[in-house]
Amino acid sequence: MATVNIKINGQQIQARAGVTLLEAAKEAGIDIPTLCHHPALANIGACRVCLVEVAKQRTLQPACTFPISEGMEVETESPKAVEARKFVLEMLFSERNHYCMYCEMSGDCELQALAYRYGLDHWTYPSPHAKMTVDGTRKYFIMDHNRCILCRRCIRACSDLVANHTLGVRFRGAKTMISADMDVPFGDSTCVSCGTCLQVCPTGALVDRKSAYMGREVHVERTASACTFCAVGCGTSIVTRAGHVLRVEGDWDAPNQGVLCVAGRFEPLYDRRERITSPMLRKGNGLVPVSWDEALGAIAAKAKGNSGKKAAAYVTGKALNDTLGEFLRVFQGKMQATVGTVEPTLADLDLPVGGSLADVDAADCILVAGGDPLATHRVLGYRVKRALDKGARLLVVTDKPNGMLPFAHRKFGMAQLDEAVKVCQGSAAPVVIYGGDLDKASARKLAALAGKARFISLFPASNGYRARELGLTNGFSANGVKVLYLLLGDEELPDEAVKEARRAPFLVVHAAYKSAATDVADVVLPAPLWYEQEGSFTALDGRKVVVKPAVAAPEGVLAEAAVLARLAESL
Amino acid sequence: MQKITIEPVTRIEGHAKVTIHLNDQGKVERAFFHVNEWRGFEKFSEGRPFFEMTQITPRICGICPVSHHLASAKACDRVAGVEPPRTAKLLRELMHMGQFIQSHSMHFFELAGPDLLLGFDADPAIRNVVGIVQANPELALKAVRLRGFGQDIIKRLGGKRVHPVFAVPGGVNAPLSVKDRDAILSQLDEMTEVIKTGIAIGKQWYEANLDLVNQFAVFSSGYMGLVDEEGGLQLYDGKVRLVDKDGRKLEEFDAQDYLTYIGEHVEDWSYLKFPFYRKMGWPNGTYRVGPLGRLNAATKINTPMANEEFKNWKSINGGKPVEGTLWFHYARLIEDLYTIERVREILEDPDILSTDIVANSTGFVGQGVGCVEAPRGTLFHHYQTDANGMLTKVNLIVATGHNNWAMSKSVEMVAKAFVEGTKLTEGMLNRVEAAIRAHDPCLSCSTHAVGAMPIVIEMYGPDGALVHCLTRD
Amino acid sequence: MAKVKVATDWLAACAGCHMSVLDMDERLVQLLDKIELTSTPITDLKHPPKEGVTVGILTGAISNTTNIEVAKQMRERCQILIALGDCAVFGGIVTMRNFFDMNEALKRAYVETEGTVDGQIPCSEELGRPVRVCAVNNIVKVDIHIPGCPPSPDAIYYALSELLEGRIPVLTGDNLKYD
Repeated sequence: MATVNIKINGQQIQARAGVTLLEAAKEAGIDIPTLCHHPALANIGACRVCLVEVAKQRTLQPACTFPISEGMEVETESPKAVEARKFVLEMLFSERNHYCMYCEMSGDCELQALAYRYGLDHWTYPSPHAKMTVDGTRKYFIMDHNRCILCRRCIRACSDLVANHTLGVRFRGAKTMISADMDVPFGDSTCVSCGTCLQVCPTGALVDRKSAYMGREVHVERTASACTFCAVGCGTSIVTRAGHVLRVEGDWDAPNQGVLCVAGRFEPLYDRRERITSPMLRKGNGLVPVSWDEALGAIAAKAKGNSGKKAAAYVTGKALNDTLGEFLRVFQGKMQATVGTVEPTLADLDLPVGGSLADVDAADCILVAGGDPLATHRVLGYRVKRALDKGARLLVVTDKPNGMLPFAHRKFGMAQLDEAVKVCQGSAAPVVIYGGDLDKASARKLAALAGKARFISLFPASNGYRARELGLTNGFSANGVKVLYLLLGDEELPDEAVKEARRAPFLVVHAAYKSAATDVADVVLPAPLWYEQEGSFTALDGRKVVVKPAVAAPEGVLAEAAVLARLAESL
Repeated sequence: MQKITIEPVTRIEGHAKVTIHLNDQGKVERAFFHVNEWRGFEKFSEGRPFFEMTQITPRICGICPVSHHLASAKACDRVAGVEPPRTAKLLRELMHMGQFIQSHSMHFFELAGPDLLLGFDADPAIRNVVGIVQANPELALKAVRLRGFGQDIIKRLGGKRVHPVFAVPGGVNAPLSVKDRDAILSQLDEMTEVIKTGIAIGKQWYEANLDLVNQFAVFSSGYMGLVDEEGGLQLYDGKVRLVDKDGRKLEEFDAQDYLTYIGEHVEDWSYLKFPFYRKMGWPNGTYRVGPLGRLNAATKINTPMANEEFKNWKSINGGKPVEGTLWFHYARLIEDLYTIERVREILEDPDILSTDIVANSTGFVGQGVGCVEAPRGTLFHHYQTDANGMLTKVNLIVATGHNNWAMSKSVEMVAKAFVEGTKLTEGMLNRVEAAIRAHDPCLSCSTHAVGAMPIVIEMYGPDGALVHCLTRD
Repeated sequence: MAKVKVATDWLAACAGCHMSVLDMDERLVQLLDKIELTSTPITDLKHPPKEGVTVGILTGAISNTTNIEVAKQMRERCQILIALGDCAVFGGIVTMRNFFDMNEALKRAYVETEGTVDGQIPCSEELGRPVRVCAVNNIVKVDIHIPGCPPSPDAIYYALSELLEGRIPVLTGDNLKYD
């Protein structure tokens, strides 16, 4: 490793060649204040807060973009640098309307923290008090231009991380405004509400509606976990206070690199379905709450004499690994029942699996067939778009509308799949992304790329990879079944499936929420929610993803695997 | 005609000014109570997200920020279509009790107390809380501790004594810890005793000054306050009860319907509007709120010690509403006792430590009224939003506003009774101020509309020239 | 030793800063051994004494002509002027009024509000005339700024104690807050 010798604040440092002054300082444990800089984003030197004094340079230089060189001597807190920094901060406060006293971010705001650090007890320059728009046209978060410091972190997140390119600036100088598309309200724009901009905003310009005023960083707890709403397996940080989930943020160090999508970040927190908090047993016409012993006893009683083909059990492919293991032990092992998953595992396509987000990053040609990552595995879709920004080609094979189509270099009908495969064969590092709309014949054609391309399967359920490994497939039937056990987690069954399930004389539904299926069940068992579970699942790239409980489950709600283990004992 | 101006009125919260117009014989013809500032909260809140109002509106008033915080949260509950869990309501009420304790105690001991304990005619240089500290340091320290105790409850729940961050649409953001509950409980006995001491001092004073009390701005009016189903005094939630001058029930309505019952009149000489009962019109429909209004409107108090005092209260005017302005102080002390008893009830509630403190919205409504009893009277917050929850209209009727007419009336009556233009003394004018002070006006609240309130006393001759200016510097 | 004379007043404010002064609790009582409160909103002297005070404290923003007069008088009569709280230091929440045309805001408040019957905009000569809202230091020179909404009792106590020791307070750590 090539190194460079520099001196920061009198301290001799050997730094890696080619890094910026900011990086070199950080590695040496020297803190240079920053504002527009964000570790996950490219540096643009916009805010000038990181200005430092570099010997032999005519002016102060922004540490975040200034490359180091041999013999460089730097002062980060010299009177000149500090004065410049304070000036920058004062200008930032005066430019727009910062009312810390009622700002949601007060206490966690990076601008405010810097002002405190540099002892700004007042601001020299009066604000023009120009009225700015507060854009509340999006469901989950609000943009308040009054508090925007134009650091452009949001723009960089939108473009460089999510490749959505909704955000930009209009006008220049003092009139500069962050705007969406051709300056339309954010809610009418191409914004996909992934919330990555919200996560990187240093001030209260972007405000999460759900967690507003629910507590500052000092009040909350964070749990490193993973999103269970699709098979991408994004790392998350679940923010809670007193047993309430306030918001979900993306884990910067996980393969998703901080990015989440609307289905993982926001939608789960707005779930208004009614929770099941106690086992219930049908008595007369209604379901009545009973103890676990009574509920499990009732199931065991029915299970006796109904093993083998007379029993069937289906589990959601969202279930964690432990749950799937116990599920098979009880129903396949002990009862020899017919077992399967509620959702397809795409096992029947007999295609390779295991391609990762990193493969997408490295791809020069991406073939999407029979699925739409932007609809079902959004973070993967964003990653594909990012690869396109870097020059990869996109081939989309579909007979249906598909969110990837506007970005495709070439579009094919399913009948022209061969042609797409041929194009792909000519590339150096192809990636194939396939989904459940593929039929077996098409899958065989796609298999021609097996030796060459990395394959990513769009499993319809988050733990589809593991379910497939365990040999589980879907194919839901109540034919001749006397006892049917459905482990749904927070999933719901379509009406037709509920009808089919109800054909079984004895129906057990193990689920988190009330639904059509629990309404008709003979026994209902409560299941924990995504933020109450502990365990792991296997993401679409075969990676084991750990899920941690951020909040304890309500009293009386037990882990799925524990319930299945107790059931096994009573059989 | 001559005019006297008192500016600023001191030992009240906010900026007020009184002008007294004298005829050629030096007799008081008319007197006005001017609220001299306007800050514009109703207007500048427009366009903000509704949920920010729980933090914006407390800045209307630093003495009763919790009342605004809670009235706002209640309006936000409605806007968001969410019913807070029981524990959240209890915790909000607990914080509210803390505020009543600090506000009522401060008013009695630190703002009005100097008049009562040192005398209306005492030297203005010492007629203040410092004077009390010097005259009775032991009592003063107790008073300081009592006020601090109330503030401490607020801080334990919301992180700060003034402008806490606690209530949110659908509940509150933090549960009560065992440590905090026990810390508050451990001080209750001591604090109850301080309030009882205050009541004893008050009673002694009334006994000695009954003549003054009976001729000091005694007049009839309507009365308003929140009550429960049995007519028991309520401060956080209830129906708004309005009674007439004889104590007969005129209305008992849901705060959501306040516009049906309450109108606001504007005079060109005050930034504070004059609310009135619509069915009786202006000025016949004027009424009083705050401690006197509430106790005259209520049928009972639900805690034992305060209810004993309440029985005394009812006997003052033979079961009819109490009309003398100086009785405000007694009513305030009775409420102080109620709130501290209520603190214990809330803390001993089996649900109080629950973490079920915030509920999810079941359906956005976009419109709502929040109403609480602030220390100074009934407080209404009314918000309307667009489909995205951004405020389109804000209407606030603040506690002190309801008493605006009563304060003007008291000023005029006291001026006529006590002010002699030919031999003006500072003590005379202090009595005029005391008439305002009895209402414990919160003029910061009142001037939320865009403004504040100072008092000067100037006398103008019949030709309009300034003939006498009485200030205290 | 003679007590140090202190005067305080509020401009367009919520009184929260004065509450925070009272929130020093027992410490305030101790301070009274060393300082003499002359004119304050909680005492009965209406204006700072003509012979002057050592420390003048203003809370609240400048929002009308009366505020300007009060601020100027305080400046003239004190040696050290403290702007206490966000409104005095920055202009604070009341400056949001500046976003709107004054008449529009007055009209909303006194004519259009839902409950108002036969409204009119108050305009008696007895009332101060609203002006564009600003911080105290936009009108008079301020010597010490203590921001916060309100500043914590600790910050106020610290600042007064430093002054009593003859030092100019420098706010750091938890004493320097904007909320």
